[in-house]
Amino acid sequence: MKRLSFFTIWSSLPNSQLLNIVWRELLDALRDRRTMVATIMLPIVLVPLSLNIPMFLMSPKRNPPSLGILQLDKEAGNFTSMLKGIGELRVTEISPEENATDLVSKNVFDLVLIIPANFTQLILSGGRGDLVVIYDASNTRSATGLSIVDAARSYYSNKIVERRLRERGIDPSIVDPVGLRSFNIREVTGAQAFAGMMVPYFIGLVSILAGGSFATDTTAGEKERKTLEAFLTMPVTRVKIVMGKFLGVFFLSMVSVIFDLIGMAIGISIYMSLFYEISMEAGNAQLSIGPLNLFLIAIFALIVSVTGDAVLMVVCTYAKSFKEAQQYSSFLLSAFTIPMIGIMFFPPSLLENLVYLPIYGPIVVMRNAVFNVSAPGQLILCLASSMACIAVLLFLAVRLFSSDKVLFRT
Amino acid sequence: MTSAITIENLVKVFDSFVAVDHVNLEVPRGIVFGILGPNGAGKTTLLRMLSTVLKPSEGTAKVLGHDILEEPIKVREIIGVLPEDTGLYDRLTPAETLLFYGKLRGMESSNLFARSEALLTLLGLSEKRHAKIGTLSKGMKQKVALMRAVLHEPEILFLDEPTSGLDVMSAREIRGLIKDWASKGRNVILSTHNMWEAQQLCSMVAIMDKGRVVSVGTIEELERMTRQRDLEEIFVHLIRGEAER
Repeated sequence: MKRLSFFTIWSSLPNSQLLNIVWRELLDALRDRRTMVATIMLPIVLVPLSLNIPMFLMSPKRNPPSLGILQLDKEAGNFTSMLKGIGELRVTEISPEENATDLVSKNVFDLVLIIPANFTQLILSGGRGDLVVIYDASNTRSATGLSIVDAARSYYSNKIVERRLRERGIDPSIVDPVGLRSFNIREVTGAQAFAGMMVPYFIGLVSILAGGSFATDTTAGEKERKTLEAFLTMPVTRVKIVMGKFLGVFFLSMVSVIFDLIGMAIGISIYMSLFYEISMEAGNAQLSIGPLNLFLIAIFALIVSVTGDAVLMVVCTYAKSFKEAQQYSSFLLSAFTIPMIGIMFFPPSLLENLVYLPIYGPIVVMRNAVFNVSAPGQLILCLASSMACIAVLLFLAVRLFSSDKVLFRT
Repeated sequence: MTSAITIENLVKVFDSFVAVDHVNLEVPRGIVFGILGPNGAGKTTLLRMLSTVLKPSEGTAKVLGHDILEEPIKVREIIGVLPEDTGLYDRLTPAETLLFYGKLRGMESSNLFARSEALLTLLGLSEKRHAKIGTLSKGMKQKVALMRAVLHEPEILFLDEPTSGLDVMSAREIRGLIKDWASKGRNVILSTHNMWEAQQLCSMVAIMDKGRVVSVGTIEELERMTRQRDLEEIFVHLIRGEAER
């Protein structure tokens, strides 16, 4: 039986110049470790990791700050027990001989709480007892620990106020006269709000990065390796060369977007099961995106990717060398990604206007799809503006591929 | 009978640098034609224009009657090119390389496989047919590039420094292939620095300097004209003469 190899598959493909160019591009990419890392490894590994590692480091439940307690007041056991019971602090009692500042500065503890000797006595006599916390503002876990200790102090203090007022026959609500009731106008769960913030950024970012490495390689890389001259002596039009390269990049981007979505799903699943602590309400942790909206996310992620690739193809064709192309790519990737961070925080009125911009419009569409609020008219205009942008970029790429000055400039 | 190549007033300017300066040449059919000249003489630029990779700034040329500006695809169909750099894809194998370029040229599968096998055997690369090009020696790569150029049995073969940097055995094999090719009545346009090689292979030469053709003719004609004994002496005589002018 004939062994199935890339050669035998290639041999059996129809005799089309375009298909032949696309196949060579894909085979070249498949054998290039750098492109494979950017296309598959980056989305499937980096997205779940970058979503969850900061969460792990910041989550007091999974990674509790260490608190040393110097209890100089032997009667303040209630407050210490309460801190131990929170579960978001790793509490250790320390002896009075130890220096609290040293313990924090030498990272033995993230923070140290000192309960003064007369603390209970002051409270019982109706006065105010001050706790002392030694912490390190440059240490995130120390700052998190401080806010947990302060929340516990506030709770403990309120209980004391409540008891004092009841002892005097006064309703405790007298010290909290203003209440707040909130009504959410959208049926958005906490999980959806989180995904709405994270999905467009991560998918947008990885989609831009996905085919970028390959788009650089197939243009500037080909010039650098001097493989272009022989290619240009073939009876193939420049339009076909550019389209063949573009379709290769498009196919790789499609593969990358699939892995990107899988990576995102894995990342969000890990986040939901390990770190989701926003609310105790049942159902708030549910993330429900309909099949149509999932399809929209996939399609528009591909559009982001392909638009970014087309920009890179133009810029990298223009570049003199691979190094110069990488410099242009780095600058462009930064230019693309900085506004993506903004999309996580922009007000809805601004997002409505961004929807018609290539690259950013599809990201806004993805965000809307997560919230299940996609508008058909908006989708069509966003699609049309992206397609027009890609067409203009491909036209430019063909022009550059037809220019001696660009192809052979050194 | 029409000429293999007719060049009329061909000029190529890069920014302000004149790489090829009003070149006129007539290359008869069925010969090995040498283009000789020092570095920067414009040989490679001239070959690139004739193979339609570069567009002339002025003038034009016809390759077997096809204008390089008006019918570039037709010209590319009838020529084979071995550029100065082999221009091979390192991640493909020799067999895949021939398949890729053969398909780009629209060759029928049966003919393509038969030609590929024959060439791989002829140049002793049968055993390396599935090895990645990046792992091959310089001589082997040059052979693969030459196979790519002659795969579709072109009417005219452009060779830019085909034996440059090769070991004696590889260079000898490639010269053998060029001789064999020319013996079938096909044209070879050979750009080289190697005067001995040009003397061995070429029936006619053009000597270029600073973008211009200094002299053209058969080697015997040039010997008579310059009163020199061999091509190297002729070359030195003509290039020195140009420098003194």
